[in-house]
Amino acid sequence: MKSPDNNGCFRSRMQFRRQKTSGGNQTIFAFCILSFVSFFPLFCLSQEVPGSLTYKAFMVGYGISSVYDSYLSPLNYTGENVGLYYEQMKNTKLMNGNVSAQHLFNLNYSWSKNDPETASYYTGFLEYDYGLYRRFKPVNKLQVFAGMQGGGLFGVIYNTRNGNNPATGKGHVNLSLSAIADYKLQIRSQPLHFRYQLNVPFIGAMYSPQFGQSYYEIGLGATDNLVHFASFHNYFFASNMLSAEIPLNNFTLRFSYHFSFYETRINDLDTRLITNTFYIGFSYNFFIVSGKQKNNNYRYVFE
Amino acid sequence: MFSNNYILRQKTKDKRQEDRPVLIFCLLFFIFFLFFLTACVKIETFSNDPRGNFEALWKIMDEHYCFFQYKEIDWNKIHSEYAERIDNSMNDESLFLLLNEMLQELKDGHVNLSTPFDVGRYWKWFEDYPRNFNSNILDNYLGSQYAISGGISYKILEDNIGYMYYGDFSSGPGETNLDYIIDKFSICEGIIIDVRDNGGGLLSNADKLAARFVNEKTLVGYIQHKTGKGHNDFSEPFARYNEPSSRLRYQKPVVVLTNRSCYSATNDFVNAMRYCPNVTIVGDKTGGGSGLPFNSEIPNGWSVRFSACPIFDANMQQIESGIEPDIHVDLSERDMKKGKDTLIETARNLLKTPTQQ
Repeated sequence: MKSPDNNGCFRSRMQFRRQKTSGGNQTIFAFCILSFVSFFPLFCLSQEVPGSLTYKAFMVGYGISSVYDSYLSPLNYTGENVGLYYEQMKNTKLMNGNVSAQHLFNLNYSWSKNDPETASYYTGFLEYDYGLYRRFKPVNKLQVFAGMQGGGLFGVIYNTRNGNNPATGKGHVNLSLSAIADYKLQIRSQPLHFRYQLNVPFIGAMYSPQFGQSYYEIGLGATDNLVHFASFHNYFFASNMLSAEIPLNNFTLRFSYHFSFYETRINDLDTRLITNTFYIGFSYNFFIVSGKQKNNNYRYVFE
Repeated sequence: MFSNNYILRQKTKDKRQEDRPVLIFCLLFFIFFLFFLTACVKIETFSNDPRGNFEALWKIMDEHYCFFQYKEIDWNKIHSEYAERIDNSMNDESLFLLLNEMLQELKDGHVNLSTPFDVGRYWKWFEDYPRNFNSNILDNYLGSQYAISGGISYKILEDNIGYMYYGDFSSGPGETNLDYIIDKFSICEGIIIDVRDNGGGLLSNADKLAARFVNEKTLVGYIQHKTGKGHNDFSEPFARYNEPSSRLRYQKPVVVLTNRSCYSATNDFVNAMRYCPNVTIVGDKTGGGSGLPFNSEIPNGWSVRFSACPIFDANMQQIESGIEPDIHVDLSERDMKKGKDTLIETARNLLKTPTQQ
């Protein structure tokens, strides 16, 4: 059966049928599965090493944000953000004990307005990464960790006044390059740690609707070509965390400045989210002995 | 035996060699970081003055509006015509009038420019036609003893015909609401679904109601979206089906009453209903509005709405300009004087004599 399309041409009805999932998508899903399968054994291997030294940090933060998403608006929105940050770093027995494993959770929520203040964005992002790092000590007082992370970044940007394009969802599964530099110094009798961590995803998969695709259509089942191969050509994310830690009696005070730069460019849709957040919280080091946590004030994962 | 100095030198050398990969790694990482920070998204900005707002609005429509080709609109020519009339000294009201005039060239009821002081609109799709609806006359049928459920007013008329008026698809009945209404109408000879003056709302509400009148999955149309900024960059059409509800479904004859004010989601509902068995569309042509609207904004914060995703019927024909009824009926002056609604009366006659349909 033939019927005219919107270009005035005649096309077979069969052509209008939904195409089956493309080979490209299968490749991306295969890549994702492969990534996690590769990381999972290392994850298990590095998990519970009896007596291993563990570092944990919890922080809350507040800062400013800038959000641009061309699916929702051609205008840039600026505002504030709050964040929650959790980090766990543990020494493992891999490579003669020279490998550390890290869990990172970062939850960030921001609210922003356009310049004329006629519309608002509400933005929420959740990031989780699991990383393995080789430890080096190039010079005294400086410890460098270099490694890779596997993880995901999920979020949504919601515009308060749009109708059928009210929000844009973001989803990433990726492998990242990651490096940590920890410098220890002492002022009088007070030890101090300065630490910088940079995470940059370099390969993965991401979700993005097509240029003018509505979520109504996606809800009908038009889900082809929503997942894309992601690398530096269409996705750049850099998470920079600069921290200062002041060990006290039973815990350590931690102050951090987090600069996060997130950008995607796909299907003629551009997104940029920049957050500058100041965190405050605490951290501590401990051993697990006979299944119980023993606080430790003398040795640190970040020595 | 090696001397102590030799061992020390050797250790230092080993240490340097061990550190080298780390330094190279850090250096590469730093270079990557700098390079990609400079290769970031360039946000195109327009100045917040009349010309900047005009250019921003023109560009939004140029890249996102979906009916340029169907309506044979030369958008570049329109830019030339209106750009000449922009003056940076014009006030907000003058700018609004000019921008709204430009948008009206699209002849699209889904195109609106919203400002704090006015909403630009194109309403000729119903203003230039007979209204074919009178709410005072409708009161003669509903009276005061009618039920309201999920935004639907309904009643069984004295000749055992069920009548429901659904005036806004923004308010959605729940499945239980629809169960009650259909159950109540199960004893009737047929029902009238009056969607006149319903300017639309949520497509999901239209889909939910239409699902009560089919017994098998029925193709009702296609939807496309833009895949790029070009006027003809469209995706492959994606089929839309009316899937039968798993709850109560109505099996007797149904008449849907329409007029020119049936727009957007209501136009889509009428389209879905005409593929249902036992359904007759009676009244005037619908107003159309088959482009799923998106929103955007210009630098001064004014919001613009526009048709972004075209929706077609099951034969891949445009329904942007409306859907013709099966039986064209206008509200007659003579009936109005008698307090009668010609469309409702026609529907009642049809339902009482279904074999003549």
